[in-house]
Amino acid sequence: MPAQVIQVLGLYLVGSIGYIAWVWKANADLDKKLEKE
Amino acid sequence: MQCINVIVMEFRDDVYLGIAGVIVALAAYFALFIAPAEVTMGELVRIFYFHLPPAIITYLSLLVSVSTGLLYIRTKNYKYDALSESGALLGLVYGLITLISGAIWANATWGVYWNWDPRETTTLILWFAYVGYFLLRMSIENPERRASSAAVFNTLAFMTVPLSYLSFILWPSLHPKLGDEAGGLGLTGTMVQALVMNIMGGLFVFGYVLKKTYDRRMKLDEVQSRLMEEM
Repeated sequence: MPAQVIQVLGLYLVGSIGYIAWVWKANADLDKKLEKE
Repeated sequence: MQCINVIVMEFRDDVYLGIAGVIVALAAYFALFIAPAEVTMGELVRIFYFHLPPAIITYLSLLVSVSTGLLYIRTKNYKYDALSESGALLGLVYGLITLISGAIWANATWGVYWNWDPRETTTLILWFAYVGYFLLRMSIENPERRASSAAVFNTLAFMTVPLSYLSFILWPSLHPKLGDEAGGLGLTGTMVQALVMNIMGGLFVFGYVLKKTYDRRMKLDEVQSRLMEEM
């Protein structure tokens, strides 16, 4: 398997999972903030 | 009762994400190990299965963004502005993935990462147009003016989407096309199945991230309105 195929798959997965993690954490932080107030 | 509703909704979101994850994993396995290599491009054709889904998500996100922006202008309902901003943000994220994966593919097949091909250039213009959209949003404090100006700017920025999509028809381009014509990838049945599975997986993930990005923006608005009330 050419390395470029793995690089593109890695980029796509890391980008998507990274974004999901960021948005999930942002939502969790805002939930905490809203609960406190 | 409201707490139970929140838990049920979160559970549904998690189940949905789990299903999306399974589809993405199966699609990736199918693309890597089941789909055959292509006649001229060989094993490198597998990049296509992971390059096209983010490109489709980019166009779709921006379509959601512009249409909800127009709905905001019509109704002045901030929910549409929130959806419009969320779509634009996803367009930027998936646009960047598309640009970088395209550059990796270009280097593997043409020998250079970037050669100002019409598809590359117009997609880069599209990406910067939406960077401009966020710079505009950041520069306006008044929420109503910000939402209206962003929606108007969005309709102009969206013109770069058909420009990017049609670029390789409008100008001579090395970018591969679907189909059997000259420069076409000529996908066989199994290759088409792999492609459809990857697009489906991508769209499932898109549904999840769009909802979560929209939720974040609505919560952010709620926090800010409470702060304003306190002041």
